[in-house]
Amino acid sequence: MSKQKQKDEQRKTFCVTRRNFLQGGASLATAAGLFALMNKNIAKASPTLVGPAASDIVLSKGTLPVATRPMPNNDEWLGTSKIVGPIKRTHEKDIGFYQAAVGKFGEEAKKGTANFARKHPMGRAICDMTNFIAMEEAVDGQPAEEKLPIPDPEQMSRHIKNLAFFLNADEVGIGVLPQYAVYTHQAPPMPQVLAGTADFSQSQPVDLSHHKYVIAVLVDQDLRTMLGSTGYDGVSASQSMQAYLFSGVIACTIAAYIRNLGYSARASHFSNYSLAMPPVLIAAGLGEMSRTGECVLHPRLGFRHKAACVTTDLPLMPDSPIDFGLREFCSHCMKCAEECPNGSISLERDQKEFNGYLKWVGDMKQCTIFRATNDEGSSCGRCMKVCPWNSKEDSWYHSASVYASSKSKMVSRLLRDMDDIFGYGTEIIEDYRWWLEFPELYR
Amino acid sequence: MFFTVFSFLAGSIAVFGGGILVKYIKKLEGRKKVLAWFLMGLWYAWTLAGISFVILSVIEKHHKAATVGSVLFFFVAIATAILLGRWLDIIKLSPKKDRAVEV
Repeated sequence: MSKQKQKDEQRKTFCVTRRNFLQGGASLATAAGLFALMNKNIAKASPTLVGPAASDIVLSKGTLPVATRPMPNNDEWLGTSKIVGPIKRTHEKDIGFYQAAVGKFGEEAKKGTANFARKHPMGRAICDMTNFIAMEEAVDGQPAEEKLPIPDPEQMSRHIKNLAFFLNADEVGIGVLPQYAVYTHQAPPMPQVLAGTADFSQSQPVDLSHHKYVIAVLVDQDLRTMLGSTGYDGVSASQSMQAYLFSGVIACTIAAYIRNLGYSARASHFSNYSLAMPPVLIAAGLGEMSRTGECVLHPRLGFRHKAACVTTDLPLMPDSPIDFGLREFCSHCMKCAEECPNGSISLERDQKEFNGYLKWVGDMKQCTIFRATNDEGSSCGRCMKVCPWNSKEDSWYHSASVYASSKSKMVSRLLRDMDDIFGYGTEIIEDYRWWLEFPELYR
Repeated sequence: MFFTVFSFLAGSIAVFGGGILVKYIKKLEGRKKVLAWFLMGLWYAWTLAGISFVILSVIEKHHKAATVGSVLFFFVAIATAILLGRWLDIIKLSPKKDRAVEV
């Protein structure tokens, strides 16, 4: 075959007819059109960067393993907590550690309260950091004189939640502030109380009636640390304090941001509370009250978290309180009560009335005394360690178990037994004990 | 790491197990054939659930859960595999030898 013929053959092989060319062009144009349609949000995004946020994105840290049912926040119910009478607002000095600090639980508990979180060097370091956000200037202030333009309440709520996730919150919720959660008075700072120089008659009255909404944030206490701990060893207080510190920083930052937008906002956190957190967390759709009677259990984190919040008059769209079957689960699980080292958690099957609402009423005095005087470590979080909702990593079988537990009483009983058989909660995983222990400092 | 190990084991069981079983199940007819495939599917799902549970528990250092899970999942998996094997005639009992005839 001559060279010319070979070239002709090659041309024929790669020849593109007009029809092929048009078909190819039409396909490419269709594909490009579809791509552009699918990505219209990308094209639209840049012009709206200045002004109200338009993005639908939610920067959440995880999905809930259970289906939740919205519940009311009214005069009869706060989520799954039944309100049976008027709920009296309380003075901050009524909480356990203030009672211990003024000597109502004995001299040993009073002495322990001054030191219980600080006796481990790491706990002391974290406690010292919380002092920086304790000041009134960190939690409250005057809003900017001019209100900046903001989007509608639904978009603004999404934006505030994204801000919380951006600041490293593990969960965030927005609720209508139940005014009965607000303290009547803030107690004097704990160091003054411990030094005996506090004058309770000079307690500051608290008024947050102008704040309609509350933004609550949760920070995880770290699953692996908890799996390595007994729940009442040297790291226990540090776990609490780190979550208190970072949730406090997030709350103070969000409050300052809202004030910069021209709206009133006050942060409440471990070092400067103006309200009781449990009702706030329930109102913000972040969980249900657990058997402990003090801790609100989140469907994903359990109660392996600490919380802080921001009360504000910023127009927001609140979440509803939620029901995911916890009350039923807690009514027969009782693992926390059985494992509590000082028997502070109720073993009663049914809830009782306490200050106008129903809950499992624990022994606050015993719990405070044990945490303040624990000579095997620093504070205590044994209930958190053993709770079947807290002690699990994300996996398909834990999600399936939690989902089934929330649906059926029989399954939840079976799963409590399975939890024990598999060693969850009570197992101490030595590989995760990364911290230093100083037993001589605990006594 | 989990997905690599899990995919390898899941694929191996599917390819080798399926390859061996298909010729036995082909011999069955009608409803029995459907039932056999269904039971095989269940067995496969149970076994993979067990493998996944044990690998994840080992990775997360839940040693007790891994041990109990191994026993629970694999005991059931092996027991049902033997029963299915007998039913499909894959596992044959050795015929009784008639010593009198041999003599």
